[in-house]
Amino acid sequence: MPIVVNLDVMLAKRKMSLTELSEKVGITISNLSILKKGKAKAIRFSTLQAICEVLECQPGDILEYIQEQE
Amino acid sequence: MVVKNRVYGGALIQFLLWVLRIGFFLFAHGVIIWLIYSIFIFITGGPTRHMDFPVMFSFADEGSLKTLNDDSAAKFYMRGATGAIMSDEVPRGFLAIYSFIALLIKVLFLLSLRLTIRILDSVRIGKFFIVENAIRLRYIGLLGIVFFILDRLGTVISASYFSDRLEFSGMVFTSFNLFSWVTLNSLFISLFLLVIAEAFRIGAQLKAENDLTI
Repeated sequence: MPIVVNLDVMLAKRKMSLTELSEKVGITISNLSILKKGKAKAIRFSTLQAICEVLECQPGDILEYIQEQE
Repeated sequence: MVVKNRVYGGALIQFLLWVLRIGFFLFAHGVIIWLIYSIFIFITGGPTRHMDFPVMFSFADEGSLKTLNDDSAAKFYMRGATGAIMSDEVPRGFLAIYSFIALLIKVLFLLSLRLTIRILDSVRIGKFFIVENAIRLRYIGLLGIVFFILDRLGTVISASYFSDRLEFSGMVFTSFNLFSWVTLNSLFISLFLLVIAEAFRIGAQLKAENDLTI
């Protein structure tokens, strides 16, 4: 998928673990893991808002569009 | 740590699974016994006891109709009906064709039963809205259509064979009778199942998408 999730990069920058983020955001680790691995089909605005609030970043820091090579 | 699958649906699903499994077991064994018996009759050329062959007939007779004022003449007639005849002496060729169709019908029924059990099995472990179940439902629908065609084909073949060999007073045996042939209930149920299967497939896709929405 051309949308890449950079959640692991942001977590590393903030020196935060997935478990800690899960507790602060209120989303299960398994769901955050799906998001981190790029297996998610969609993300709710409310989830994005909560992650951005905790990680103090913009949605663009987490999501990135990379054009697919033909 | 051993994680056990949670049982969904509880007692009703368990009960249905039990009933269907017992039904499948009994019916499968019945088919095997029937098959052995049919082969035995075919080889030995013995009488076909307890074997029903469908026939089509119409019936007409005159009588009286009791009304409030007076008895008036009336004519009763049956436009088309299907019955069964138990015949001990049938030629091998006819027996082979009819038995083969009957066997196919029984196998189709067993397959439908098996697919229903697998659907209930998936419900038991909490995986109801999955694409596999939609495919199973579609197969049950398609098997139902084939079942309908084979059943009618068997009836026509049997009725054609017996139509000019049977003699009962007041009754006319026919090889094909539209009124008794066109009973489309089972066909409509199969078509309805196909519609449900398609709705199920879309539902399963939506659920899969929803499950991956964080």
